[in-house]
Amino acid sequence: MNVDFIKSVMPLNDWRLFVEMETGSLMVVDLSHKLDTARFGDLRDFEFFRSVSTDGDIVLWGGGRVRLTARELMDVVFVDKKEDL
Amino acid sequence: MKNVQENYRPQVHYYSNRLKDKLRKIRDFRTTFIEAPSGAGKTTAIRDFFNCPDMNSPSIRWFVASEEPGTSGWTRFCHVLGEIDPYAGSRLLHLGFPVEDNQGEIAQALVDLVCDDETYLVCDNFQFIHKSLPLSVWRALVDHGGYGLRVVIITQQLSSRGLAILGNANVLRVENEDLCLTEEEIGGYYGLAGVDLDLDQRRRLYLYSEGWIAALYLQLVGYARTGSLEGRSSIHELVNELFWKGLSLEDRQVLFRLSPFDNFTVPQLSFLLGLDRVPDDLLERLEGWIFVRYDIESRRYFLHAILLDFVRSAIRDEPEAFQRGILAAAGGWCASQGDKTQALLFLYRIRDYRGILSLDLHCYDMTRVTLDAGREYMLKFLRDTVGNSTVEMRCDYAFNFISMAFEAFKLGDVELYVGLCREMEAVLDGSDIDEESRRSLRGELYLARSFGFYNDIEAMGKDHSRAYELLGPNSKLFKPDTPWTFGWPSVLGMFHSGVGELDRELSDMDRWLPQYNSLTSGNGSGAELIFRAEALLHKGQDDEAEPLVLRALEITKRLNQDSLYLCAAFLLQRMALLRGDGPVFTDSRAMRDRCARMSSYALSNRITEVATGFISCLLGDPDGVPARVCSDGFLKGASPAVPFSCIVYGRLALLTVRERDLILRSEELLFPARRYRNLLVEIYMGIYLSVAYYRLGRDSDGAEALGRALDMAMPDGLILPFAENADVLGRSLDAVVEECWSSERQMFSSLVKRYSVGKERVLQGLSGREAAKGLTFRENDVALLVSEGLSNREIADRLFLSENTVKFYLKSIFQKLRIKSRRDIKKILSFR
Repeated sequence: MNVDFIKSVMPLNDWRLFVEMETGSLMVVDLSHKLDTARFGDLRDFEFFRSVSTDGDIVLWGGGRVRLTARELMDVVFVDKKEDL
Repeated sequence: MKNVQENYRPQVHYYSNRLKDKLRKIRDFRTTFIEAPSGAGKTTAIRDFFNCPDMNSPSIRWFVASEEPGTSGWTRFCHVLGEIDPYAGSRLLHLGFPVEDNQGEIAQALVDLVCDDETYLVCDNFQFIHKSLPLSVWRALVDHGGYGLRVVIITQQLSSRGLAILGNANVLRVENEDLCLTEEEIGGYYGLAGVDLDLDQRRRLYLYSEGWIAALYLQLVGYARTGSLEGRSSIHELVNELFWKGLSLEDRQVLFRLSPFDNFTVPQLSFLLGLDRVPDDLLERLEGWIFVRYDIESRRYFLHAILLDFVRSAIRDEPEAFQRGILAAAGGWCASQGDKTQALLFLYRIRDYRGILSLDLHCYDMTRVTLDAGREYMLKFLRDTVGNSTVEMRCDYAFNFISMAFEAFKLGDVELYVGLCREMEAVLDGSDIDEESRRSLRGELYLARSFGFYNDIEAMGKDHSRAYELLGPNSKLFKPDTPWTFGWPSVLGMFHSGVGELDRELSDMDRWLPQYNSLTSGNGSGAELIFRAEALLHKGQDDEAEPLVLRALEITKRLNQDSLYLCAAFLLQRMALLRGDGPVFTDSRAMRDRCARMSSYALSNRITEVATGFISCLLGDPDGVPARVCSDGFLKGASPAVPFSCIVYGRLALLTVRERDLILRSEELLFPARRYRNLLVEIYMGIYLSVAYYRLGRDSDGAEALGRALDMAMPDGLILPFAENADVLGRSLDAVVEECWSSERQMFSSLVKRYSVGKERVLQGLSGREAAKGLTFRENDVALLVSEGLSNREIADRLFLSENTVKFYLKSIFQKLRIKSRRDIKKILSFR
């Protein structure tokens, strides 16, 4: 049974991620506004940001030192956008 | 702002009312699931909750998973569970680490768990074991059977598959949102810690921390030092600024040395530091370090994931030799504690092959690594270790290489197995080891090498004989209770390899097996009886087979030959079908179930599941086939265990109208059987293919496949496979037998008829014993025995269960039938 959410992630410029979901959806997620937080502050180092990978459910940097779950990723896309409105 | 130094209390614990309200509900839910990132304060919240006066000293059992091999964690979990229900604990311990083969039994044990009094089982750091836990076991843990038991699972965020299970169960979910603090709550927390915040500060702290307690705590610590709340530091930088930079070089070394582990004891620390005794001042300093917690009960220090992440990150800047030294010391510690599996995993990370080889690896150790890390990991390990070893190493650690050769055989890497056996022969011929060691090693090598001849009994036996001459009854390679059948429920299936050769094979087994039995202090005892009894039954001579089966049951039980006991019980069940003997059919099934439950080896479950699948198919019950039997894990791979599963797959395909699929996959399914020359599998598959062809209107292909199957079976008189499948073969069977085997026609049709009548009688008996709708098979058995007036003790004895388990089933029967007494069961059953 394949229950993974995220098929692949690719770093883009300006702290954006190109994410391909298992459903076939494609999205670009802007993480630049997370750089001032304690949990994601390490991503300010762009080389570190580029180390991004996924295990299907979690987006990982530095082999798991910084982690963002698929659910949190959706929050970044939808909730934070809503706050901007 | 007030004077920080005077009122500053960073150690205070603060919880939002939202969280407190949620935790109060723990009692109302069978399972509570607390899932949030590292540093969210999950464990602290639960500890504080249990310590609050409202809880009135509940009974609590903590299991803390850690980054260790799954088998070690599982053993600890079983012991903790055993404190709640001793029977369930020992049953799980017997079943071993959850893998595909035993997951059904393990899930059942968790559902059967008995715990009437209010008890809490806390599983902390669950993320470490979650990935290796089969879905069914994970589901059973969440939906366990303990009436008074409340399971509390504390974990970092898991994959989505876990969440799917939680959706349908009686689960209280506590999530990151419940643990994170709002702006206002941040003000409350800091106020309690002695720091007053204005609105703007709260707002900025909230944006920075997102309510994450680890960040808020570190900011508080930093505030006391600098008087400022400013900063855009990551958690990593905060740990660096507030903790790491203040450490002496010596203390940093301590943390580096500990970094392979997430918890440690004082003796462990002294070993890793290379000291006879840990200095008192270091222990004092440890108490004060942030993110280090001492647990009085286990006398262990626990390192928080945030600190571990930092140290493991910092260590990457150190010289490679230093990093290697740390892993070597970690491996050394595990080896000194007898944990060869974890030692192997550490040492393999730094490719320290000499260190690995000095571990004295037995087959048993490697099986554990395969269970923990998987077949592919083990194969890579074997290939790397062999590829990177020198002749000198092979000479120094010859026994380990012989064990590795056998492991390669079991995993199906024949090339590695054969190559290694040959090389070890050369090593033993040429090296200057002492004569006595050479002699015993050569004996072990003959034993390992004999499997290259599987399933030529004589060739294997000759090597066993040579091994015995050298070793006597002292083989180290196999223990007396090592499973003998690779997961097969049939000795005939494993060892009948040549058309018209069965009688010779039987006498070969009689001649050569005793040598192997002696060599391994009794391993394989009784196999020759089962082999002969199976052969007789397949010829329809069940009266002659019966005493042999009964003797085999007695011998295999007495000598703890679980795998062979299961073969004998399976044979008895098949014999009962031919004879129409319902009680023996049911009893032999119970014998099998009981043996598999109590057996310490995972393969016992595989044997039981394929046997159950086989019988269910014969009875026309596809739902009774355990799902795993036809999974890729059972059907694919080059292991000698695979072929019997293909028999079950074939008949199931016919039952579920997947004839095309069967024909398409037939070559793939037959490949392992041909590789290991399992003729009986080819016979069954020929029958199934024939049925599939007939059903698709390809009559000539059907007749040809059936003719081939008969040609393989009839020279040895093996009629049973055709009798077992006569119901699906129909009249085509008579036609082909008439044409090609007319002289055997009478004997053939007599057995087919007997089997058909016998099976019908057993089926009628089973359906006559059906209890009320909704009861499981096992509940049905218990209900029937209750209606016969048996006590719980008597039922337990009859069904090979514990009294507690009988009580558990009774509780479930009462619930399902909505009744309150044993008398009601009798009433309901008598009305059927």
